[in-house]
Amino acid sequence: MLAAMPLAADAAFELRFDRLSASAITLEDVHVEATALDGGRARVRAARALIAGRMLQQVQLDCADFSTLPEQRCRGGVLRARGYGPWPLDFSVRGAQRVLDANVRFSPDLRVTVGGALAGAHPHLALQAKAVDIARLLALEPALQSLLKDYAPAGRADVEAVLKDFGAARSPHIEARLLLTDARFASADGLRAAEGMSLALALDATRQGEDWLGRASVDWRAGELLWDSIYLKGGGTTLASDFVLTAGGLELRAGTLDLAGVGRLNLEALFARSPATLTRARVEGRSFDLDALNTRFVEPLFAARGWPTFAVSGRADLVAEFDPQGATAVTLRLADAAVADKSGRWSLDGVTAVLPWQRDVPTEPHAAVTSAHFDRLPFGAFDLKASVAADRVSLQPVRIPVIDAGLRLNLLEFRKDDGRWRGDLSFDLEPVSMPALSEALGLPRMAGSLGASVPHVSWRDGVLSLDGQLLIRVFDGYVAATGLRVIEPLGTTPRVLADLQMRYIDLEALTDTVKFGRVTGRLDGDVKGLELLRWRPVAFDAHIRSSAGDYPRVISQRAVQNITALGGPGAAAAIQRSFLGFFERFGYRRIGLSCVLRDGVCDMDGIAPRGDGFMLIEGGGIPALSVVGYNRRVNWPELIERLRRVTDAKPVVK
Amino acid sequence: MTNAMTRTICLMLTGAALSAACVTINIYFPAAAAEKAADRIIDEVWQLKKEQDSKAQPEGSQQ
Amino acid sequence: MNTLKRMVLLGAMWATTAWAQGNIEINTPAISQIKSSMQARHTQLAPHYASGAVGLGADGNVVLRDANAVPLAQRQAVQGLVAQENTDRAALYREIARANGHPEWEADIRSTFAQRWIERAQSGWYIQSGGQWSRK
Repeated sequence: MLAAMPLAADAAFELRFDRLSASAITLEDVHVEATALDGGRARVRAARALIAGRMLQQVQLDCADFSTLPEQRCRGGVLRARGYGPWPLDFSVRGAQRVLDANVRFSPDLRVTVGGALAGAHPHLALQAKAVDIARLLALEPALQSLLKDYAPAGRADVEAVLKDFGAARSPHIEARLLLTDARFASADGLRAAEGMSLALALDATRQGEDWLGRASVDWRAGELLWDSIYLKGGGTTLASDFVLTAGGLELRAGTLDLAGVGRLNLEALFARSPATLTRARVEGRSFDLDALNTRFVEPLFAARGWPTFAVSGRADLVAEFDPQGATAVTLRLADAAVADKSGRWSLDGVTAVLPWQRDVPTEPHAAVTSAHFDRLPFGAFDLKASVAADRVSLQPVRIPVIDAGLRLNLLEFRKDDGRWRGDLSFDLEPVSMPALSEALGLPRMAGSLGASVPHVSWRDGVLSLDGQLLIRVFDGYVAATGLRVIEPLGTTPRVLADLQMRYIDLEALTDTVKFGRVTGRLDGDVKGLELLRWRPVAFDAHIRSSAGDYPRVISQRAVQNITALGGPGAAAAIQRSFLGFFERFGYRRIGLSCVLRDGVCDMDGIAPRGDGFMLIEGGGIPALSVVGYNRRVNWPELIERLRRVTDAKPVVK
Repeated sequence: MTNAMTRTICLMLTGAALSAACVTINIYFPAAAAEKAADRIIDEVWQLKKEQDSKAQPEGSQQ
Repeated sequence: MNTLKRMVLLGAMWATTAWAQGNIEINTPAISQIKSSMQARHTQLAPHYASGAVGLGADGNVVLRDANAVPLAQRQAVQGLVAQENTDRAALYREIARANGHPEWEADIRSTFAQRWIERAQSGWYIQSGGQWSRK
C-alpha cells in the first residue's frame, strides 16, 4: 500500500543531494520529492544512511504531512530501509537547538519515543521503549542473533538509553539500562534453556574512533537456567566487566562474576564477531567454598552421567584458560579441604593440593593429606605426587601409614590403549599388629600380625584381577586366595570371584577370638568358586575338615551347643536336658563340613552319613560326643543370622 | 538357529583342514530363548503382569 | 575331509541341542539385583516415556530425546535417571551374558532386548528405528 503511494506525479519539488550531514546522521545520494515545503505529502530517499555508526541501505521516508518551515516535521510518516521497516513514525525538529521529538512504531506493541537536542554544545538523544520483544532487540546485532539463533530467545525488555555528544569530531557516549522480564530461551533438545528470567542490564560506553569502550553489568535477579547438566536459580548473581567492542569482536576486561554463595570469579575474554566464537578466555577465582561449588556445579554434572558423587568441603582457588577448542589449562588449589563419599565409607581430610591440568602438556599434580579413613580403617598423613598426560596417569610410589604399619603403593598407573583405559597396581602391606587392626575394624581381638605382598593387580575393562596368590597368615596357619578378581568394583553389581585355601588354622585361637566356645584342634578348608555380589557371598563350594596330623582334639560344651544352635532353636536345649550337660569338655576324632551355596541355600553335608543325617563331628575318647546334622538345605541368610547371634552371645554361666 | 547354521556353513567353506575351527561353533546365540528371557525381565521391570511368585524361597530350616 | 564333515556335523548337532534346550539363565542374584533396581526406577521414568521426554533407543538404551517436555527444574534429575537406567541396562546385558557362560553374547543380548523393549512399549511412547523417532 505504501509502496504504491503515487507521489512523483504531483510533486512540486524534486531535490537531489549528493550528501546531507547532520550531527548524528549522514545521508548520501538523497532524493527529496514534496508537494510543498509547509505541508502535504513528501518522500525522502537516500541510497545510504549512516546513523550513529550504523550503515543503512535504500532508506525511504514517506510523509502524509511534511514541512521544512518553520519547523521540520513529518506526520503520518512511514520509514523503511533495506531489511528494515516499514515503521510508521512522526517527528518534529524545532529551533536552533534542533529539539527533536520523535515517535516510531516498530510494531503494534513496540513504540519508541526519542527526544533530545540534535544541535548545540551538548547534543543528546533520549530513547525510551517499553516491552520490546527481545528477539527484535537481538536482531539489531547480527553477531548476537547468529549466536543465539538455535536458542529461540524470547521475552520483553524495557529500554532506556541516552546518547550524548554525538556528531562529527565528538566522542559519542551512550548510557543504556535494560530490564528483561520473563526472558527465556531453549535449545531444540531442551538441555540448554532458561525460563522466567529477570535480568537488569546496564551499559555505559563511549565511542573512540571505530570502537566502543565502556562497562557493562548484568544482575540476574530471578528465573532459572539449565545449561547441559548445570541448573541454577537466579538471585544474587551478577556479572560486571569493562569491555571494548570493535568491528572484529568483543573484549571483556577486568570482569567479575559473583555467584551467590560460591564466590567471585575474575574473568577476561575475547569473542570474535563473525563467526561468533570465543577466541580466548581466562577465569580466576580465589577462596571458593568447595561445598557450594560441588553441590551447584560438580554434583549435577556427575549425577547426569551416572557417576558417583562426593561430599567436599574447604576452600579452593581456581584458574582456567580457554581457546576456541575449549579448556586448555585448569589449575585447582585446595586448602584444608576434605573429600568423602556420600555414605561416609571413606574420606580424605586436611587436603592441601595443587592440581594442574593442561590439554597439550603433561602435568604433575601433588597433594598432601593429613589423615584418611576407609571404613573403620584409619590412615596417617601422606603426600601424593602424580603425573598426568592425555593417555597416562600415574602415581609415584608412596607409603601410607596405617595403624602401626604402612601400605606401600609401589605402582599405580593408568594408560589408554586403543581408546580404553587400563590400570596396573602393586602394593605391599607391612605387617600390621592384629590386636590393633582388629580393634580398629571393630572385630574380636586377634593376635599376631597381618602382612601382604601384592606384586601385581591389573584393571582391564572394569575387572580387577590379582596375578598369583594373596597369602594371609592368620591363627598360626594361612589363608591363600587365588584367581582373585573384582568385577566392576564401582558398578551397580560389584562381584568378587576367588578360590581360597585355608591350612592348619589353630581352632583354639579362632574360637577364642570369635567367642564361639573353645575348640582345640586344627582345621583345613577349601572354598572353590567363591562369588561375592555386592560384597556378600552368593555362591561357593566349601569344605572344611580337621587337618591331618597329631594334635589335641577337644571341644567345649558351649561350642557343641553353639554348633547345634546353628541348626535352629530347641536343639541346644536337648543336650542340656541329657546327661551330656554334666560334662564341660568332650573329645572328638574329626570335624568335617561342606556347604555348597547356590540361590541363597546352603546344601550341607558332613564327614559321613549317619542315619537320616550326616555326621559333622565324630566323637572320640572319653567322654565322646558326635554331632549329626539332619537338615541338608539351610537358608543361608538365616544361618548367618544364627551365627551372629551365637558369637555375639555372652558366655552362659550355669 | 539361522545364526548357528550360517556359521556352520562358513566353516565348511573355509575350514579346509582345520578341525579346531569347528570347535568354536558354540558361539551360537539362542535368539528365541533370549527373546523369551527378555520378555520375562521386561514384564517384571515394567510390571506388565501381576508379579509372579516365581522366586524360589528356600524354607527356613529347622533341625 | 571325512573328519571335517564329522566335526561340522557334530557342531551342527551341538547347536541343535542348545537350541532345543533353549534356556537363557536369568535367575542369578546379580540379575535380580539389577532388575529390582530398574523396577524401582520405572515408576519415575514412566511419566517421561508417556510425555515423550524419554524414548526407547534402537541400541537397547533409553534416550533423553526431548527435555522440553519436562519442567526446567527437573531436567537435571531426568538426565540422572537416564544415565542410571543405562548403567543398569548395560550391567543387565553383561550379567545375562556372563550368567550363561558366554560373555561374548553381550551385544546379541543387547540387541534382543532393544527389539523387545520397543516391541513391548506402551502406545504413546517414543521408539527409535533407523535413527528416527516415532510415536508408538
